[in-house]
Amino acid sequence: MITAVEERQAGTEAYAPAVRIANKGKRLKKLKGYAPPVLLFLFILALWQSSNKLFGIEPYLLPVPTRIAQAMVDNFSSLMQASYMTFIASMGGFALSIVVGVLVAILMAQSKVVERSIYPYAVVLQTVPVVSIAPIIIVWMGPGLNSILLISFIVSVFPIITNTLTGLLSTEHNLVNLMTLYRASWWQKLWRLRIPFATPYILTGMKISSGAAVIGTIVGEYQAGIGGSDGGLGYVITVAATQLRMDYLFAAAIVSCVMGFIVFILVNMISSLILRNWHESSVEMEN
Amino acid sequence: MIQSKSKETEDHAYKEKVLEGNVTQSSVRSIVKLKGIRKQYNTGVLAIDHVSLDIQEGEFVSIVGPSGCGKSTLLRIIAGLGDYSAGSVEIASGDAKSKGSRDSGLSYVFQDATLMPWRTVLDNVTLPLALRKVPKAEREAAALEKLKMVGLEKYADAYPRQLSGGMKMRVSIARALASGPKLLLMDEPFGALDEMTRYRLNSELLHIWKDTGITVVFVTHNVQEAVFLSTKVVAMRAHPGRIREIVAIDHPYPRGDEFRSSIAFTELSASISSLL
Repeated sequence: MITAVEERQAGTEAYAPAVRIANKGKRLKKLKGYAPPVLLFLFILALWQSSNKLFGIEPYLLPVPTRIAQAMVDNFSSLMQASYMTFIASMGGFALSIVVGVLVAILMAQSKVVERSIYPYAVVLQTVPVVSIAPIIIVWMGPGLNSILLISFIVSVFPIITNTLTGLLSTEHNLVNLMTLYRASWWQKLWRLRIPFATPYILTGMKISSGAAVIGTIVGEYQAGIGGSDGGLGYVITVAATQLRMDYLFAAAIVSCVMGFIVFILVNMISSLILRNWHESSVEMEN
Repeated sequence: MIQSKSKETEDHAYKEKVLEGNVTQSSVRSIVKLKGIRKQYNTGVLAIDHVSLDIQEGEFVSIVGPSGCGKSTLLRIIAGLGDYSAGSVEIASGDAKSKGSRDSGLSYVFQDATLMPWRTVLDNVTLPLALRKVPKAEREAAALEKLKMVGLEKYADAYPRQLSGGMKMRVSIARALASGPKLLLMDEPFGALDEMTRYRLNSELLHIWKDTGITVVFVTHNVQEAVFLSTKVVAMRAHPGRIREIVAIDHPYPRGDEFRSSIAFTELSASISSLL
């Protein structure tokens, strides 16, 4: 507890030099933190590269890293084209998830009856295996972007719904009372209180569903198969698998991973940017 | 809420009568009039019963009592935030429950500062005015003035997490003042603060009360705090919550440390404590 005297003196400018020094130390610490996983990665890579000589694994079953790298370079333009397609489709599905997910959560937050009637179906969306509904959607809507987008949406919407709902329902009770006292309208309560309050929750949902959206897209493209002519990474995987081109398959898998990772990092950055001023999770504590 | 209500409304004869013995001037207008308030929960538990209270404009009334005596419940009823089972509530010119008017003319300070962590201090204070769609420049000027009143104008752009508990409570008070209310309801606002900070905020609150001419209803479990601040202390008892006695504190304002250390203060505190 800060006493009365300290309260007056607590000017933020006074902290600035100390913070700068602390940041320098932090950067060094961060660098040291990166070292162990990088070393492990290099070690595994070396082991993998010599897997043929050391363990006698056939290269057509496990292509060595240099082969995979070569395959990446050889198929660079088609991989990039496919990545672009996948990125567009998964961002579309992800965006749809955010919009629909938040709207559904707002609807569910209105009353227990609405919540109870919608929730089971939202859970079904989460539990149904993608591979079982993807073919149905593709048959119905054709193997184009629309069906891929829909599959991506189905896979990624649930985390948004459930997290947003939790946020909306846990809004601080007295803040709601305060709004009532000032005769705030339903719209004002939602826009000025409930949505901002739920923002950290929505962002958590987004972090989870961003990866799911990419996976959903690739599964959808995979299911659409050869029919999906200007296909994304899922299509590349289908082609590479049917032709048993293991190096290309590995290359596609790695590119898929990297894309999921990049999308996650992007969402994370947006999240920190939005929450930097006020939320515990993004604020660097001094003690 | 499912609750049967047998609220007696519009008892005009009652208005003429002066309920409390210590009120002699009929020219002073009542701002809060409670008559026979009863609050029973759905479980059947009687929270408060037979509570009648008359508060005049410009008074500083404290409600003290042990926890569970229904003092906070009573404050919520005055604010129109809580339901009651029987009795009548009149606030200034209207009924606390009427949702018709855009301006209820009252403000509420909660036990916690209840600030919005995503808004700056200034934006927190402007909230009541923003909800009324007061133009931005106008509401910010008004908010800055209130922040000055609580000595936090330098922190207008800070976020709540950067403030201490005492400072947060000051922001909360500034926000309550921003809408220019006639009636300020405070629910144990300084309960969570250390004694030093509480003393300071007590004095500041009295200054604000004197400067603005606002009517304050202040709920606390701290008898000394109630005696120090109030023109009138309402002592409540629990199970069910009832008003035990209403004690007038006649000591003149401004009150300072000399009042706190006086014999009269000690005696008043002791006699009120014995009522609880």
